[in-house]
Amino acid sequence: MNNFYLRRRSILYLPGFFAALFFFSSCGQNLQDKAIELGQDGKIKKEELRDFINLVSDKTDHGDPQFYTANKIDTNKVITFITSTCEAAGIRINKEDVYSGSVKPIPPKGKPSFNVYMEDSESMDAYVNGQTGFKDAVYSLLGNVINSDGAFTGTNLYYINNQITFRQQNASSNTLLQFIQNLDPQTFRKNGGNRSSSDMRRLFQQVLDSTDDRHVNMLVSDFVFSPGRGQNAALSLQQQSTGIKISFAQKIQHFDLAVEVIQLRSNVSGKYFDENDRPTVISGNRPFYIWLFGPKAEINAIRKNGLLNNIKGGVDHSLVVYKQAVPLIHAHKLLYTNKQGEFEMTDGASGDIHGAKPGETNNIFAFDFLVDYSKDMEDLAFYDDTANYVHDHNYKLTINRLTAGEDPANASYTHRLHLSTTALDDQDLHVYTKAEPPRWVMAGSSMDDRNIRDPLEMRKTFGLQYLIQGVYDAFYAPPHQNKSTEVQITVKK
Amino acid sequence: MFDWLYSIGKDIHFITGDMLTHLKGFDIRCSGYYGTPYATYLAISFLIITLGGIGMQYFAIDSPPKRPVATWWFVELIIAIVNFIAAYFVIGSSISPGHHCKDLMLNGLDVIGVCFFNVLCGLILAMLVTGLPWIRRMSTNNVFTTFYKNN
Repeated sequence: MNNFYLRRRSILYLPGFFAALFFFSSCGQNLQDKAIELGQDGKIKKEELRDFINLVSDKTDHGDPQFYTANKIDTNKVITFITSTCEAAGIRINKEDVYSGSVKPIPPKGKPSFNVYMEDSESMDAYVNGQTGFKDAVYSLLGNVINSDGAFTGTNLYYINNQITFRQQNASSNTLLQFIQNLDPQTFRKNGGNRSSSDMRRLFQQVLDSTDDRHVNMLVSDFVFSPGRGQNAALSLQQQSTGIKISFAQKIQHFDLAVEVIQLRSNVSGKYFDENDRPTVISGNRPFYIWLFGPKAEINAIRKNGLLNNIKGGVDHSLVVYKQAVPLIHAHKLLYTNKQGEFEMTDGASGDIHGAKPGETNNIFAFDFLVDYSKDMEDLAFYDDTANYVHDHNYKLTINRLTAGEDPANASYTHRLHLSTTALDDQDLHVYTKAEPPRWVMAGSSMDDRNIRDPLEMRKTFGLQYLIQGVYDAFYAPPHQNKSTEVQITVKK
Repeated sequence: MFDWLYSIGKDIHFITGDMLTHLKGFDIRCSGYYGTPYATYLAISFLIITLGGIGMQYFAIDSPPKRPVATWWFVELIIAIVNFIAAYFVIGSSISPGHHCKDLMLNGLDVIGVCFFNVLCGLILAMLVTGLPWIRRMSTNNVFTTFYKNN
């Protein structure tokens, strides 16, 4: 072959090389197209899912929060990616149609019993005198528990003051009705015990002692601290708070405890004992509280299945506290919508912000990001309120809860947060949710209940703030610094 | 692989920021770069078209009877048109709803910008390739002929 043809052929090698490059790059399918391809026939088989997981392993950084949990591929996240990608591309596919056998099922545990502790000190007489909302609420809640489709092995009923004064094990629906019908001041008096004082720390200690993996406990009381005759309650409030903190702190040292508190209201008729233990006859509506104690998983299940949502008379307020070593870090998804200025997501939507620039006209830099709070124990409404957040001072935060039917690509998130600033700088942004007593606790707490007939005072509970603060101090000691969740986004200019 | 090239396109205002994100393969869930890597496809398309076109031009000029050197510009025009059409073919349909992250603001002008950027890249590639002496020496008749100098 002469030199002329050799040279000419060499010229043609270059496009040939790039054609081969094109061919091979086309063969390496991207995750999105592969997910859509898998979803075309409506079902995803075991082998297909396994191949896709291998592709994820090849194509993504190990630790990518889209697919990994604790540096291991999370099959649930992979399935969510496939289904939501298909939905975004207009292909209907359910999670049930995706093979999930590789996801190890959680072995079923033994079911706990549900134990009701009814405080029966003298101040509780007013709540059980005649037909009251208190009785209706307790009865409807216990009815929910008994009909909770086998969530509990049995329901046990107790009266409690300084000691347990009555017990009824394995209550049936008939015994339950009888229990409610017998709720009156005479029964309380007949059961005895020390009814003249309400030592909240001691009350909690008794219930906490019997709380474990096999026992979910419910304590019902007006939670008005009353040390007894001749003692001023106001002077002992801080001691009670500290005592409660110690009791709870000791329990959570070795137990995964969660506590839910709900505030309800009932008509009352009878004596109220003020901070000096002076009785006043009252008639009207007063708050009372139901506290649930149990393992975190059980309390979370109770909250999620709505057991507490349809109590007769309704729930005014609620809060939940739970054992947690440090603020729980939540993944985020950055959005390009509603942005002001410019930025890039070099590491994807779950990564950091790069190349941030403020808007040229107003010097504002702003962006949206999504967070999923559905797996946390607090009600979603808690996350709607900016007052429950702590964030960097140079940014302003606004929040919207995502509604059903929004973009399917965002279906796995619950809240859209918007941060804006006029002082853009390289910064690690932190958005925390507070682990502090909610505002209703302070608003519903009284420090002086001597004029209990005042309509405003009737709506309050003496010393509630100290009681709740004691619990929060136990659960959210340092390094928590009163923060329960955290989202971190690094902004680089 | 070629994201850097289209970042230059953004810097010289051929390509918008949103289009650059799209070209990098931002997926339809707007969650990360798990989608089609259009930047790679676009770059490879102009590389193949431009190098293939120049290769054929070399072949044509080297083959007897010799073609006039004036065909250089004509061939370059054809390469530019083909580059434009190919780029439009690669990226055009991807901006329709349901084929890209809906948070990205993309329109027809953005596509035209990308196509022109690919044409520009093709022209620059042609200038570079024909300007390199070792490539010119592969030809018999083009040793002193480049994109910008016809001898």
